Amino acid sequence: MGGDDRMNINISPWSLVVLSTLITFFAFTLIAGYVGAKRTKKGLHEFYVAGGTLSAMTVMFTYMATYMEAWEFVGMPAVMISEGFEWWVIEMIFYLSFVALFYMIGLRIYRLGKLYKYVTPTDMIVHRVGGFERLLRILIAIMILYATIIYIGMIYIPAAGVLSAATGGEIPYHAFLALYVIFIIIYVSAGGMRAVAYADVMAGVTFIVAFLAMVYAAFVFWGGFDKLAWSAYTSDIAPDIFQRTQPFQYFWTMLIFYGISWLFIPHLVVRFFAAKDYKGVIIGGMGSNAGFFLGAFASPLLLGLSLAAYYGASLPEVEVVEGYVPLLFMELFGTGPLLVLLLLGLIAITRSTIDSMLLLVSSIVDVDLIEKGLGIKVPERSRRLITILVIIVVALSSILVALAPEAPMVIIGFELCWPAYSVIAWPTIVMLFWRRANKYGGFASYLAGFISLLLFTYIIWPEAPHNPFGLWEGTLPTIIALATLIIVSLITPPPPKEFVEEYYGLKKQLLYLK
Amino acid sequence: MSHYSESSTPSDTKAIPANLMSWEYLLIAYLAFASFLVWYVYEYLLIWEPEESMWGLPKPVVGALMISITWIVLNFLLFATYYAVITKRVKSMGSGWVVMIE
Repeated sequence: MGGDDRMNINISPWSLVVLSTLITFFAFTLIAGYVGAKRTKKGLHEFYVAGGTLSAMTVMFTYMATYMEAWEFVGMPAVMISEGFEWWVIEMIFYLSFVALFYMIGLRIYRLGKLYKYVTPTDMIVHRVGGFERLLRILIAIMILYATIIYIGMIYIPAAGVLSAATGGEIPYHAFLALYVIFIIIYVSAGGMRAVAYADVMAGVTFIVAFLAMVYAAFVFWGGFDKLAWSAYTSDIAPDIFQRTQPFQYFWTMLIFYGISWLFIPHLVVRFFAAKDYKGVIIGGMGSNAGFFLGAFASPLLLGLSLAAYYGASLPEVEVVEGYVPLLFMELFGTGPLLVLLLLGLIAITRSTIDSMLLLVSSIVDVDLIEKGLGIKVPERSRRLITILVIIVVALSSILVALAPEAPMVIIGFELCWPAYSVIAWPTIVMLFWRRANKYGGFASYLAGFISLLLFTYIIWPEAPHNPFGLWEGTLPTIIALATLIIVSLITPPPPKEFVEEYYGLKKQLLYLK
Repeated sequence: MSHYSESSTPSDTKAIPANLMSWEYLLIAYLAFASFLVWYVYEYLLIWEPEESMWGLPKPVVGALMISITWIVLNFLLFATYYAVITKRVKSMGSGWVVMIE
């Protein structure tokens, strides 16, 4: 931290309250982590996927907490006002395909996770590909690391930006960024998946309370939803933000490629592995999707419209655009207990995704890269230390994304992070059902997809959307990955018959007779 | 892949088919409908026309409502369907005859 960023004794009482709120929240989650660690049995399967014993209710909250993050609660309202309403509509579009296929894909992933006791998403991928295991583990680990470091860094932005804005900039963005990362590292190192799951429940409950307070405020201050909507739509910023700027093909490719790729987002996949039974997947999915209606639809809509209606084109000065949200709360509620509660909710949702992703990354590096990819045998006692070190390295690396963000978190996610997830997800989902896919096609698809993604993004078309056709950034690399999967699989020998029969349940056909 | 084991596998895994059930192909037809919906919202509702309204609300807000209501209704519909289908398959496995054909 530079000399200008030093906190001094003239800090205001309110800023101290904000700081204390952050510390108190993390103290409680540390207790949850400690309890979780005590109850966590030994072994990788327990540490990373809670031994596959999470109930439907817990799974539901973990799904909700995974998605109902700063992305929706802070990022979307901010992007509505800074980039345009269409970016949030695009997010709504993705749910059209994600929700539709959630149960279909989720149940299959759960089934395979139970049958073969997978620990990481890569376990599932290398099992289905059926060859080049070491190389594939290293490749997938690099791909997931690439995407996840961007993802975590992207969430740091509102995490620190919201708190700094709540203090009116008195405590700088970078000071909160440093504090936040330190707390996250300590917390995740303490407990493992079960601790994250319990803390996610806390985050979910806090979020719901905060959301209800916000709905109440929106109606009290604006006199009803329709009046709020019209105030926003007739404000002086409306002509700029309520117009589409992206071509239709961008919207459509978000529906198809972006939406479906969410079904194999690594930190969701481990939740499927962690479910106790099929009810955990189905009830958890239904509940979390219903929660998204509040968290991803109602909440950002109310907040985004409120921002447009309240500020219009006279937006306040902020270090990052995500800071608009706490400033609006301060304008509406003043500084007091309700605002503290709202900040708690904001801290909870920013935190819950980050820590579960750090845990996922540590499992991938620990299991996939070090042990099974590079073939280094690590004793069980040393493995925990390596895990903690990995968490620290990744958490620190992600800071690079958040140090001086040039775009709202939502745009960073759409443009840089999810294209990499899409290149992993699409071939994997296709191979769940396509028996002819073989190890040559499988390996080549991930490799071709990732290389083309890097080439398009950083060398050939460095300007967004990284293609000349107006498609979503992940579309072309995903199409290349899929084409490679199909073509290479078809021109090389099919996978072993024994494997196909076992994997697709053809060997033992069950005939159910009443 | 010797580290994978089938021991202590929950019985419900046998009730979830590896391949698509025939009715699940309807979801592909749904994606065609979803594409149409996206096109409609994009073309007719995602515009700034302050003198026009729909359902008493600004058009872009209505477009977002249309999309969101579609996926939330679909969520409950699919939940009920999958819960009923998989539960029935699990029960039929527990109470009925099971014939293994190698």
